[in-house]
Amino acid sequence: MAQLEAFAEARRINVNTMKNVVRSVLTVLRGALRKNLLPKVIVEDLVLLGMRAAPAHGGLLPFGPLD
Amino acid sequence: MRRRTRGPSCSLSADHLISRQNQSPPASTPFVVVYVLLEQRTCVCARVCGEGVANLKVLPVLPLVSHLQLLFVWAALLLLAAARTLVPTMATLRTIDGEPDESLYNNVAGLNNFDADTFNQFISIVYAFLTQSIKVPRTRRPPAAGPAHALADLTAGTVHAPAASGSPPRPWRSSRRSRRRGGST
Repeated sequence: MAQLEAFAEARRINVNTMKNVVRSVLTVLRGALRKNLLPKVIVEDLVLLGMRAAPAHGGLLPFGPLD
Repeated sequence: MRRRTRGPSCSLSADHLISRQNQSPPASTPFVVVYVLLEQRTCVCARVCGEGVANLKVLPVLPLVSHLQLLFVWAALLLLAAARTLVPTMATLRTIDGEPDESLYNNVAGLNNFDADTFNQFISIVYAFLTQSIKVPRTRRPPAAGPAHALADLTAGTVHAPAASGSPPRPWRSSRRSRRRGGST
Protein backbone atom coordinates (compact mmCIF):
# COMPACT_ATOMS: atom_id res chain seq x y z
CA MET A 1 0.00 0.00 0.00
CA ALA A 2 2.90 2.34 0.76
CA GLN A 3 4.29 1.61 -2.68
CA LEU A 4 0.97 2.58 -4.23
CA GLU A 5 0.81 5.80 -2.24
CA ALA A 6 4.35 6.71 -3.25
CA PHE A 7 3.49 5.99 -6.86
CA ALA A 8 0.39 8.18 -6.71
CA GLU A 9 2.24 11.03 -5.05
CA ALA A 10 5.09 10.87 -7.55
CA ARG A 11 2.65 11.01 -10.47
CA ARG A 12 0.40 13.58 -8.74
CA ILE A 13 -2.61 11.29 -8.88
CA ASN A 14 -5.27 11.08 -6.21
CA VAL A 15 -4.53 8.10 -3.97
CA ASN A 16 -8.17 7.07 -3.70
CA THR A 17 -8.51 7.11 -7.47
CA MET A 18 -5.46 4.90 -7.76
CA LYS A 19 -6.87 2.52 -5.16
CA ASN A 20 -10.05 2.21 -7.20
CA VAL A 21 -8.08 1.50 -10.36
CA VAL A 22 -5.93 -1.10 -8.63
CA ARG A 23 -9.01 -2.70 -7.08
CA SER A 24 -10.66 -2.97 -10.48
CA VAL A 25 -7.62 -4.45 -12.16
CA LEU A 26 -7.15 -6.89 -9.29
CA THR A 27 -10.77 -7.99 -9.63
CA VAL A 28 -10.19 -8.85 -13.26
CA LEU A 29 -6.87 -10.58 -12.67
CA ARG A 30 -8.08 -12.54 -9.64
CA GLY A 31 -11.01 -13.78 -11.69
CA ALA A 32 -8.59 -14.77 -14.43
CA LEU A 33 -6.43 -16.66 -11.94
CA ARG A 34 -9.44 -18.38 -10.40
CA LYS A 35 -10.69 -19.54 -13.77
CA ASN A 36 -7.20 -20.31 -15.08
CA LEU A 37 -7.78 -18.24 -18.20
CA LEU A 38 -5.40 -18.20 -21.11
CA PRO A 39 -3.43 -14.98 -21.74
CA LYS A 40 -5.32 -14.52 -25.01
CA VAL A 41 -8.64 -14.50 -23.17
CA ILE A 42 -7.31 -12.08 -20.56
CA VAL A 43 -6.21 -9.73 -23.33
CA GLU A 44 -9.68 -9.96 -24.86
CA ASP A 45 -11.23 -9.05 -21.52
CA LEU A 46 -8.86 -6.14 -20.97
CA VAL A 47 -9.54 -4.77 -24.45
CA LEU A 48 -13.24 -5.24 -23.80
CA LEU A 49 -12.80 -3.20 -20.64
CA GLY A 50 -11.39 -0.30 -22.62
CA MET A 51 -7.66 -0.88 -22.49
CA ARG A 52 -5.79 -0.27 -25.71
CA ALA A 53 -4.49 -3.38 -27.41
CA ALA A 54 -0.79 -2.63 -26.97
CA PRO A 55 -0.74 -2.38 -23.16
CA ALA A 56 -3.14 -5.27 -22.89
CA HIS A 57 -0.75 -7.43 -24.90
CA GLY A 58 2.10 -6.33 -22.67
CA GLY A 59 3.50 -4.22 -25.48
CA LEU A 60 4.69 -1.58 -23.05
CA LEU A 61 6.39 -4.10 -20.83
CA PRO A 62 10.10 -4.69 -21.22
CA PHE A 63 9.64 -8.42 -21.89
CA GLY A 64 7.39 -7.84 -24.87
CA PRO A 65 3.93 -9.02 -25.79
CA LEU A 66 2.41 -12.10 -24.28
CA ASP A 67 1.50 -14.97 -26.55
CA MET B 1 -35.79 -40.06 27.27
CA ARG B 2 -38.39 -38.74 24.89
CA ARG B 3 -37.98 -39.57 21.27
CA ARG B 4 -37.91 -36.62 18.93
CA THR B 5 -41.00 -36.39 16.77
CA ARG B 6 -40.78 -35.47 13.15
CA GLY B 7 -42.49 -32.35 11.86
CA PRO B 8 -44.68 -32.14 8.77
CA SER B 9 -41.74 -31.17 6.57
CA CYS B 10 -40.10 -34.51 7.27
CA SER B 11 -42.60 -36.25 5.03
CA LEU B 12 -40.87 -34.85 1.95
CA SER B 13 -39.88 -37.66 -0.37
CA ALA B 14 -37.14 -37.79 -2.95
CA ASP B 15 -39.68 -37.88 -5.80
CA HIS B 16 -41.33 -34.75 -4.50
CA LEU B 17 -37.98 -32.99 -4.29
CA ILE B 18 -37.07 -34.03 -7.82
CA SER B 19 -40.39 -32.73 -9.10
CA ARG B 20 -39.72 -29.46 -7.32
CA GLN B 21 -36.34 -29.33 -9.01
CA ASN B 22 -38.01 -29.65 -12.43
CA GLN B 23 -40.39 -26.84 -11.58
CA SER B 24 -37.62 -24.49 -10.52
CA PRO B 25 -37.67 -20.93 -11.90
CA PRO B 26 -35.22 -19.90 -14.64
CA ALA B 27 -31.63 -19.34 -13.67
CA SER B 28 -31.82 -15.62 -14.31
CA THR B 29 -33.74 -15.15 -11.08
CA PRO B 30 -31.43 -15.41 -8.08
CA PHE B 31 -32.72 -18.06 -5.79
CA VAL B 32 -31.42 -20.70 -3.49
CA VAL B 33 -32.69 -24.23 -3.45
CA VAL B 34 -31.60 -26.67 -0.83
CA TYR B 35 -32.71 -30.25 -1.23
CA VAL B 36 -32.65 -32.07 2.00
CA LEU B 37 -33.65 -35.64 2.51
CA LEU B 38 -34.83 -35.43 6.05
CA GLU B 39 -35.67 -39.10 6.10
CA GLN B 40 -31.97 -39.86 6.02
CA ARG B 41 -31.13 -36.64 7.84
CA THR B 42 -28.60 -35.90 5.16
CA CYS B 43 -28.30 -32.87 2.99
CA VAL B 44 -27.52 -34.44 -0.34
CA CYS B 45 -27.51 -31.47 -2.61
CA ALA B 46 -27.35 -27.75 -2.17
CA ARG B 47 -27.52 -25.70 -5.29
CA VAL B 48 -27.33 -21.99 -5.79
CA CYS B 49 -28.40 -20.55 -9.11
CA GLY B 50 -28.75 -17.06 -10.47
CA GLU B 51 -26.73 -14.24 -11.93
CA GLY B 52 -23.16 -14.40 -10.77
CA VAL B 53 -23.67 -17.40 -8.55
CA ALA B 54 -24.01 -20.07 -11.21
CA ASN B 55 -20.52 -21.33 -10.54
CA LEU B 56 -21.42 -22.63 -7.13
CA LYS B 57 -22.60 -26.08 -8.05
CA VAL B 58 -22.87 -28.74 -5.43
CA LEU B 59 -21.83 -28.42 -1.86
CA PRO B 60 -20.37 -31.45 -0.14
CA VAL B 61 -22.70 -33.74 1.69
CA LEU B 62 -23.53 -32.30 5.06
CA PRO B 63 -24.89 -34.47 7.82
CA LEU B 64 -27.80 -32.70 9.45
CA VAL B 65 -28.60 -33.49 13.03
CA SER B 66 -31.41 -31.10 13.68
CA HIS B 67 -33.65 -28.60 12.00
CA LEU B 68 -31.67 -25.82 13.64
CA GLN B 69 -28.60 -26.84 11.69
CA LEU B 70 -30.68 -26.89 8.54
CA LEU B 71 -31.65 -23.31 9.29
CA PHE B 72 -28.00 -22.36 9.63
CA VAL B 73 -27.23 -23.99 6.29
CA TRP B 74 -30.01 -21.99 4.69
CA ALA B 75 -28.73 -18.75 6.20
CA ALA B 76 -25.17 -19.47 5.11
CA LEU B 77 -26.23 -20.26 1.55
CA LEU B 78 -28.30 -17.09 1.34
CA LEU B 79 -25.37 -15.02 2.58
CA LEU B 80 -23.05 -16.75 0.13
CA ALA B 81 -25.41 -16.10 -2.77
CA ALA B 82 -25.74 -12.45 -1.80
CA ALA B 83 -21.98 -12.04 -1.52
CA ARG B 84 -21.34 -13.65 -4.86
CA THR B 85 -23.87 -11.48 -6.64
CA LEU B 86 -22.21 -8.37 -5.24
CA VAL B 87 -18.68 -9.31 -6.25
CA PRO B 88 -18.06 -8.86 -9.97
CA THR B 89 -16.24 -11.76 -11.56
CA MET B 90 -15.13 -12.65 -15.02
CA ALA B 91 -18.23 -14.77 -15.43
CA THR B 92 -20.48 -11.79 -14.85
CA LEU B 93 -18.38 -9.75 -17.25
CA ARG B 94 -18.80 -12.34 -19.96
CA THR B 95 -22.55 -12.61 -19.57
CA ILE B 96 -22.95 -8.92 -20.28
CA ASP B 97 -21.59 -9.41 -23.83
CA GLY B 98 -19.60 -6.31 -24.55
CA GLU B 99 -21.17 -4.03 -22.01
CA PRO B 100 -19.06 -4.50 -18.90
CA ASP B 101 -19.51 -2.81 -15.58
CA GLU B 102 -19.21 0.97 -15.92
CA SER B 103 -16.83 1.57 -13.03
CA LEU B 104 -14.61 -1.28 -14.17
CA TYR B 105 -14.58 0.13 -17.70
CA ASN B 106 -13.72 3.63 -16.53
CA ASN B 107 -10.93 2.42 -14.26
CA VAL B 108 -9.31 0.07 -16.74
CA ALA B 109 -9.70 2.47 -19.65
CA GLY B 110 -8.04 5.14 -17.51
CA LEU B 111 -4.81 3.17 -17.75
CA ASN B 112 -4.51 4.26 -21.38
CA ASN B 113 -3.44 7.68 -20.13
CA PHE B 114 -0.27 6.27 -18.61
CA ASP B 115 2.96 6.40 -20.51
CA ALA B 116 5.15 3.32 -20.79
CA ASP B 117 7.23 3.94 -17.67
CA THR B 118 4.23 4.75 -15.49
CA PHE B 119 2.34 1.78 -16.83
CA ASN B 120 5.21 -0.57 -16.03
CA GLN B 121 5.43 0.77 -12.46
CA PHE B 122 1.70 0.38 -12.08
CA ILE B 123 1.84 -3.22 -13.30
CA SER B 124 4.62 -4.00 -10.83
CA ILE B 125 2.44 -2.67 -7.99
CA VAL B 126 -0.52 -4.72 -9.19
CA TYR B 127 1.72 -7.77 -9.45
CA ALA B 128 2.86 -7.25 -5.85
CA PHE B 129 -0.75 -7.05 -4.67
CA LEU B 130 -1.67 -10.11 -6.68
CA THR B 131 1.14 -12.26 -5.36
CA GLN B 132 0.32 -11.24 -1.81
CA SER B 133 -3.27 -12.34 -2.21
CA ILE B 134 -2.49 -15.77 -3.63
CA LYS B 135 -2.61 -18.48 -1.02
CA VAL B 136 -0.44 -21.45 -1.77
CA PRO B 137 -2.08 -24.66 -0.54
CA ARG B 138 -0.14 -26.60 2.00
CA THR B 139 1.13 -29.91 0.75
CA ARG B 140 0.24 -32.87 2.92
CA ARG B 141 2.55 -35.73 2.31
CA PRO B 142 4.26 -38.13 4.66
CA PRO B 143 7.94 -37.74 5.41
CA ALA B 144 10.13 -39.69 3.07
CA ALA B 145 10.97 -43.22 4.03
CA GLY B 146 14.56 -43.57 2.94
CA PRO B 147 17.58 -41.36 3.48
CA ALA B 148 17.78 -40.58 -0.22
CA HIS B 149 14.25 -39.22 -0.24
CA ALA B 150 14.85 -37.33 2.98
CA LEU B 151 17.94 -35.73 1.48
CA ALA B 152 15.95 -34.79 -1.60
CA ASP B 153 13.25 -33.24 0.56
CA LEU B 154 15.80 -31.31 2.55
CA THR B 155 17.48 -29.94 -0.54
CA ALA B 156 14.11 -29.03 -1.99
CA GLY B 157 13.27 -27.24 1.23
CA THR B 158 9.99 -29.06 1.79
CA VAL B 159 10.79 -30.35 5.27
CA HIS B 160 12.88 -29.06 8.11
CA ALA B 161 15.75 -30.98 9.54
CA PRO B 162 14.94 -32.56 12.93
CA ALA B 163 16.83 -31.50 16.00
CA ALA B 164 19.88 -33.58 16.76
CA SER B 165 18.87 -34.49 20.32
CA GLY B 166 15.14 -34.46 19.91
CA SER B 167 12.48 -37.11 20.05
CA PRO B 168 11.97 -39.30 16.98
CA PRO B 169 9.58 -37.86 14.41
CA ARG B 170 5.95 -38.70 14.92
CA PRO B 171 4.32 -40.88 12.28
CA TRP B 172 2.35 -38.98 9.72
CA ARG B 173 -1.41 -39.32 9.98
CA SER B 174 -3.63 -38.75 7.00
CA SER B 175 -6.67 -37.35 8.73
CA ARG B 176 -8.28 -36.40 11.97
CA ARG B 177 -10.34 -39.57 11.86
CA SER B 178 -7.27 -41.78 11.79
CA ARG B 179 -5.97 -39.88 14.80
CA ARG B 180 -9.16 -40.71 16.65
CA ARG B 181 -8.93 -44.33 15.67
CA GLY B 182 -5.34 -44.61 16.75
CA GLY B 183 -6.05 -43.40 20.28
CA SER B 184 -3.35 -41.86 22.37
CA THR B 185 0.14 -42.59 21.26
